[in-house]
Amino acid sequence: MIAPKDSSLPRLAQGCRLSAHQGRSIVLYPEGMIRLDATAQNILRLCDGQHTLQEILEILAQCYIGANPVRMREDVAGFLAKLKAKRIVDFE
Amino acid sequence: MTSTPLALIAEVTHRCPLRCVYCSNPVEMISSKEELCTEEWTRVFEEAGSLGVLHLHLSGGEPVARADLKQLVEVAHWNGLYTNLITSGIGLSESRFAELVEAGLDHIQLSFQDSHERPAKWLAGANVHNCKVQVARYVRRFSVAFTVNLVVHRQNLDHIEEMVAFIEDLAPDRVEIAHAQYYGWALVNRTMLLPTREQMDKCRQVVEAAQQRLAGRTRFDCVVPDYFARFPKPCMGGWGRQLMVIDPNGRVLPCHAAGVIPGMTFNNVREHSLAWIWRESPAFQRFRGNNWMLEPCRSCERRDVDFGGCRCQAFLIAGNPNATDPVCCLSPDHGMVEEILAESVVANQVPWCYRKNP
Repeated sequence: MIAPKDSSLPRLAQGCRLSAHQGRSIVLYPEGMIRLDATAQNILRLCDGQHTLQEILEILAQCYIGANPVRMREDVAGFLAKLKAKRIVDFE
Repeated sequence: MTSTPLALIAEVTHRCPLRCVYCSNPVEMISSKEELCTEEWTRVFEEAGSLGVLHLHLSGGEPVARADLKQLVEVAHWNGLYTNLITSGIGLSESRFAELVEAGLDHIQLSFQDSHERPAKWLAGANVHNCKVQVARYVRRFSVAFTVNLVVHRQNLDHIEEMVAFIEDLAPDRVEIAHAQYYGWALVNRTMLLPTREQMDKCRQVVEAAQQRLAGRTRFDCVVPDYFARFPKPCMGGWGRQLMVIDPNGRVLPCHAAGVIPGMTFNNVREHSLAWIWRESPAFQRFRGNNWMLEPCRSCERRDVDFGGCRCQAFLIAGNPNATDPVCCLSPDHGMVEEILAESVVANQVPWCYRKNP
């Protein structure tokens, strides 16, 4: 599993996009889709190649007040690494 | 309640410059005169969008053979469909591809027969390998998802490492290692295509190693040949549960091969709405759910996992479309699959039967 660094600029991989299906937010990729909960949606909206992981975490910290920052970094980085393995998210 | 279809496979033409020996098209093909026109496909894609379809696979034959392909991609994109072009790349110039991307194409799936020109020509019945390599090079420069599809079988599996290295060099986002599925032309040529168990095992090891080495760069998906599996594949994700296929003249089928099952009538988008065909038409109802099942499927705990396997395969091997898919180790007809495997291993070289053009 390849984990993002604080300075990584995560973005949706080529040919992947956010959409909606039956009133729920989804991400579409070749041959499949994943339903997104509110948190996943908030993270992926910030994956625009303009925000570093560090900046994404700072923005999320304002939405999830009181969340443990170490735990949050682990969760977000793990989520992004999983989506990179599926070629839904890209970062260096 | 009937679910909504997630994907639509639009076989926009049966015309193709290749003659692949494992083509999944039916042996009886549809001529260009009978093909749905641009306006008809437009209406179908609008209806698909409103039905909640997410993925559209533009397939064939060779979809690039349609002069109106750019319009079709445009309409699909306007209707919110995630649009995938399944192509051999032949006839697709870089400028034409740029137009398709501009029109909203999301994903291209480019097929290869082999890593070398000579065997590729032998399998495709046409000299197209180098042309495909050119297409792969320019595709990578566009912002679309890029899948390389490689069909594997007894005639090329001995050099699977070389083929995987060849694909790695093309730098796709995704690779499909697709073992030939025995329908259409592949069924006609089955004795020459069925792999040996040793080839299967080696293929699995090579692909797993590549998967690990390329993690995060290229994703590998494998379509396993179910003749070797213990349990059948959940064909099409279950009959009339997720997918529909429209053939070049507008007939809507629950799977590519469903036309082989006797006594089936497939309704046409020229006469009915897509929604009615999906929800109500007899063809989609026929094997939906599990009331049609015979034993051992009927009382099997896997009946909602693999849905009894493939109805076409049950008919093609066991002669009964309601039977348990004979590839299942629980099927009373499973011995027939074992026999087919044993016969193919000792089969001598026989001439290919190349796919014909409509």
